[in-house]
Amino acid sequence: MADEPVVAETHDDVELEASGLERATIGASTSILAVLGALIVGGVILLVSGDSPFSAYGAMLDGAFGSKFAIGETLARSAPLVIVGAGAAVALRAGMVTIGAQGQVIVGAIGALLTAKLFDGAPSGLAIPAAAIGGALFGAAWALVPALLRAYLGVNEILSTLLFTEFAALLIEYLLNGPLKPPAAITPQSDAYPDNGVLGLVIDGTRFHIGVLVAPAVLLGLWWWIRSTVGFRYDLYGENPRLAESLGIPGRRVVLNSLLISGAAAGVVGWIQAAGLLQRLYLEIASEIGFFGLVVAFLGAARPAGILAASLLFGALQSGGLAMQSSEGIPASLSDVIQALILLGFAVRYAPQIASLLRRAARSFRLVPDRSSRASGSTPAAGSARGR
Amino acid sequence: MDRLLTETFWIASISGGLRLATPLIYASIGETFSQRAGVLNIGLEGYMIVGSLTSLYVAVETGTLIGLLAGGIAGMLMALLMVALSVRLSANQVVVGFALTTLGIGLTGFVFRETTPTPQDARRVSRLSEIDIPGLSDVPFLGDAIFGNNWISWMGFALVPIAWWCSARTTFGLQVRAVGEDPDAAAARGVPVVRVRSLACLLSGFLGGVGGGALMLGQVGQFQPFLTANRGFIALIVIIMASWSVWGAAVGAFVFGFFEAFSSNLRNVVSGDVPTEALNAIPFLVALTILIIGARRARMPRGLGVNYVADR
Repeated sequence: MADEPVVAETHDDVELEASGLERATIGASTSILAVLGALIVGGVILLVSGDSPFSAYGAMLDGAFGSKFAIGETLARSAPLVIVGAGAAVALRAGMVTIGAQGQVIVGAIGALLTAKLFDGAPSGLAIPAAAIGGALFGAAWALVPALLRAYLGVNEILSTLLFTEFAALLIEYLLNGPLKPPAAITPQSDAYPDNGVLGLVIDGTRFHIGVLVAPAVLLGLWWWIRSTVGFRYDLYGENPRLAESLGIPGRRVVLNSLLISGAAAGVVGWIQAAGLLQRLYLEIASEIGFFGLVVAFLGAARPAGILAASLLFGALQSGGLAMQSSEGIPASLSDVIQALILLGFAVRYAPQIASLLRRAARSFRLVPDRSSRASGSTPAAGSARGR
Repeated sequence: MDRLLTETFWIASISGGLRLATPLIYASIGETFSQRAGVLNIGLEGYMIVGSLTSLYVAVETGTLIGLLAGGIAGMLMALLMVALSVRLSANQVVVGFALTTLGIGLTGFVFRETTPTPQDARRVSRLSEIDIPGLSDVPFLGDAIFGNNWISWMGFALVPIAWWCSARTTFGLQVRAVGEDPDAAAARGVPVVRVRSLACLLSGFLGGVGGGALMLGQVGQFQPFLTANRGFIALIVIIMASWSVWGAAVGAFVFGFFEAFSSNLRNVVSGDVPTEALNAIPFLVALTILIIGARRARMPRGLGVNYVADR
């Protein structure tokens, strides 16, 4: 096996010995390389399909940053990613990989709308926070069953949260075709969001609404979480569950709470989409926010600054991609391709770091808890050390 | 409720179940090999959707068989990225898997929209006819329920014993299990760990792509973005329930397929009384149940999801 290239390990050693500044430099430059590489491959795809990469990327750049409207659009698309990403980061740090945010956003939006209807006529100062809490609670509730299944029965949370996303999609389909649908509507949708709960625009002529400002607050929250004692306990559990439990940190509660927190964050996104961006519910209210929110947490290594940078990048790619589709006629799916390629680039660039962050999640990567290795006495740490 | 008890209802549910299970059988068998070797392909969804589009575009130009194989090769090319990045470079398997799912959905959406300016330009293939098994197809009830499948399904069913034999009785099968259980011990015995893992992962890509092709050529006949609708993830669930056994995966695939057909047939029976969405939830509720049961009794390969790095 001596001829196997072990690039990841070499990289790891470099980063371990590097100072903070050097590490940041390595991080920044390799990140830029990953993004450039993805754009180049995207350009080749454009060339092959007979489009000009320059006009395509020009249209994208223009659609992401070219005007007041474009910048507002980019921010409005980045904010949900930041919030879902921060929630996913809390779960990731505790060793949980959840892709249920998609469904939790949908259910959070339903919860926000129902709460807002309940508070119809109340002063906005009451109705708005109530709807926010309603969204968060509904989002957390949608995470509850997968969280309980994971904590008590060891059911893989990646797959169970995926199934709950299916259920959420069916639920909103039912509600918007029946109980919540206004009689006059032709396509599936809800009534307009109650006026007293609407999150107004920050800048007129854009879709930069007040809900976007929740994102920086959530990032601050994550920043605090990482430094807090509770956050440290959860990190410790994610890093080494056996050590954590021997120190008296209750594993089940960590699993449960971290998944509920990520559900609540996704629910909050449902609220800002319903109350701010769309002011009505549609089937596509979650678009692909849940999925890319997790991707952003991966890319940002579950840290606030990284999540912010990755969210802005993906928000720009998405709003730019849609603008490119309408002006150049090039399918916006190209944005998905570029985002996937960036993630691939980072997977290699981060191979050591992501692995070390997600070494905590080693049990999650294993589809069910590893009883056999415990029985045979090999420690999880010894097993996952191989994975670096 | 009388209508529920008719023979046609159950024939339609069983035969529909076998048809819907076919793509899952292909995908889950390939992925069983890969997971037994220790490589988890969260990107199976991506392999399937790339396979489905490729099989359609090749089949309209050539024929069904070549289309199906092309789908497999396309899936294998996706898996090649998994091999390069995770098996070779030790990048995290879950992260690369998610990226490959996104890549597959994005690429196929891009190609489909670029090549389909108007709905009239959409490529289509017609439905494959069923192959009668002389004698068996005439048996009452069973003939229609079980023995009326197209050749893609028959090939999928035939693959199950072959895959079991490969897994249980060949050197390759033994090596696959060895590198998934304990790569260090396997390497010490001279098993080329990385090569075996790469081959198993490529097999998952190939059969995942064929599964996507089976979905396209054997069932839907026309592409739409995100056609696979999480079937790749369903295949992953099926494998857990099957506890990494090839026979179990085939049974699990049929169980899911059966309930998918059952719930869609139920729609005609109880129309109006129950919301369609509730009926559509049935197969996913079944999937959740088998996921829970699977987690209780599963005995997973010990090295699953953990990249192997040779000792320095």
